[in-house]
Amino acid sequence: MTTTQRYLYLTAWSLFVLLVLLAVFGGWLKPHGIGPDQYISFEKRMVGGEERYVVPPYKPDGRFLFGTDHRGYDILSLLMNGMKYTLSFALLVTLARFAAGLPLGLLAGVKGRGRGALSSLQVIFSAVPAILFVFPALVGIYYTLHVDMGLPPGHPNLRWFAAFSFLLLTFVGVFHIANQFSDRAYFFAGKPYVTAARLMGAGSGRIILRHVLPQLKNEILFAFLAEFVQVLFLMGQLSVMGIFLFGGEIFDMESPGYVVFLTTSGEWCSMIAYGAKMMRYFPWIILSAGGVFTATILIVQFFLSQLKLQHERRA
Amino acid sequence: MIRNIVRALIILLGVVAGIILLSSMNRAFQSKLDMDHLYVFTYEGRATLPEIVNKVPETRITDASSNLVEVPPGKARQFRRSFILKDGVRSVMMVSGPASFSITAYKDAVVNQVRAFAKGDLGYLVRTPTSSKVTQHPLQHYLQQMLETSLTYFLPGLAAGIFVGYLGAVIGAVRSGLGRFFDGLHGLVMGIPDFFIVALLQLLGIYLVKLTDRQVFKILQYNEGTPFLIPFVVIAVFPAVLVYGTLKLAIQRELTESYVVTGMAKGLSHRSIIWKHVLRNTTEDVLSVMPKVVTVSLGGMVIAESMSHIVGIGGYYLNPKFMTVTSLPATCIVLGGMALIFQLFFLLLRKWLVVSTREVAS
Repeated sequence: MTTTQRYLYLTAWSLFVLLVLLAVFGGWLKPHGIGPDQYISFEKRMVGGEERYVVPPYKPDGRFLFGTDHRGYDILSLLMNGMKYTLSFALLVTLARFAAGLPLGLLAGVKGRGRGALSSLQVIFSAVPAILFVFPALVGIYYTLHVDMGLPPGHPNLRWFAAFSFLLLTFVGVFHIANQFSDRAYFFAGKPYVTAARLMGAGSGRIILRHVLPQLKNEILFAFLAEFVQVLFLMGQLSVMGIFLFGGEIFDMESPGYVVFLTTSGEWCSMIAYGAKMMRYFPWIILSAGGVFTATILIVQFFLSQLKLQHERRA
Repeated sequence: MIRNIVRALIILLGVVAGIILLSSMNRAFQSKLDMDHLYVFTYEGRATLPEIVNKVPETRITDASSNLVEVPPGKARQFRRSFILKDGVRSVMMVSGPASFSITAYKDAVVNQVRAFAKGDLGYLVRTPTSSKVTQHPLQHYLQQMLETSLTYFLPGLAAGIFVGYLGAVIGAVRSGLGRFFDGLHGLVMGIPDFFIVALLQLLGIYLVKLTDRQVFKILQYNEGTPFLIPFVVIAVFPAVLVYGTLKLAIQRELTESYVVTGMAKGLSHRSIIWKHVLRNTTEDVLSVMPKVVTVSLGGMVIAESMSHIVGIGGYYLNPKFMTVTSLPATCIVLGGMALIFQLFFLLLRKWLVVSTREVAS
């Protein structure tokens, strides 16, 4: 490994570990609180050389590095607190996709049965963008359960919506994982040592655990990270279409009847949805939320690419 | 041949069935709004719930621990406004009863949707009223215009993306310095979500207006004129990176083949080997990635149309021109059909251009 390669590999690990630490400890490290006691209705600020009373959202400055939202809550603090919710939901969906798809694919590949059906299901769900399956279902439920009206945290409808979103996002991604690993398992199942094991009486389960999985462990890790990124992409798409999780509160703007939905946790998808609506007047909101979202994806992809390179070097 | 046609029909039916089954899920849930109560939350230190309720006549606290307030029967929406105007009130939320789930209701919804499609009812778009009149139009009224609008930038965007990706990979293979730069750019762009690209372009448009005092390119669709640049770029970006990545890997693979070594030993230049020999052997790789290219482009188009308020086939749902729509499943099926048509085109192209070297039993 050259010096540059080693440097890049270590940088990838450092950034990834930093990401995980921020996700876990962000709620404690945030510079400002994000509770009702942090609400700012107006402040005296210098505007065009004059001191005036100004209502939030405030632009980024020395006190609020990423600016504030309509309540005067620090955007950086919201994003640091909300990071764990967004990333842990994406992680859970990815884990669920693998928990369902991996055994399905490995069994089909080793037994040699059901591969055609898996392939057809994979084509159906990948032939069109996942958002075409997911959005019509979620938007209907979103409005039926009145999530758009702002439900108090802990409301049963929020749990229904979160559960359904989780199941749907998992479901649309299961078949391509199953198909991918079905092909790989089929490849290894044709190897002479697997045939020998089968002749000696090994069942499909033993063949998968003892002979196929050890060959695929790196591939599973790479596919897991790639899938995590795809789930984040899908969540980002849904957020600009107005669908996000974890509830919030309704904030009435000065214009009668004009309300905005604000997250209480800082969950990133709701921040993105809020920022996308306010982009023309308060661009720092979408730039901050979209920026950290993009930076997270880039860090994970960089980490994945360095892992793959390291694996190739060792091979 | 027949087997392929049957498989294609199964895939088409699968896509349609998937969209109908999933889009009808909301009918399985039922949750009623309680129009006699509201949740009223106050800012600590500024006002208490009893103080606020005393200021709004005809209301009383039902449950202080959950901030539940009773209002005159059926008037929750009107009294919500009264509460929110009071100083010290943080938020006022409608009260939703817990949801119930019914398989029978879901089954009926699916059957009704299929029957509606069979009768030619593709759903309605209800226009946001500009006067007191609410107008409702069937989807067929808008469908052709939506398709024309979307195809105006989808086809050029897709073609441009494929062309740029292909050219970039070839230039990168011929000139190694540029190749490394393109690789870095490829890695960067692959990580940027499509919504963020749209947001950055819209902010750029706003900035250019402030700088030049004139509209350089449209960022939103108002009455006339459809934004072109934003959906075009978003649709083109991901095909470009996908084709670039695939072709670059394929070229690198082919450059290790023995026929390339033979060509170089015979004195052929690196450039002529790539143009005359390597590229034709990478055709299958490029055509194999086209289904994913189409899928990703369509997803980008949906996001670009939604964020730019374009009344196109992908993004009309969130358009402020429409108060409510019931045609979402139908347009998702139309988009699915578009995706499948493109994939069929690339499949036929693959059969035409790629020579099969599979052995045939004599």
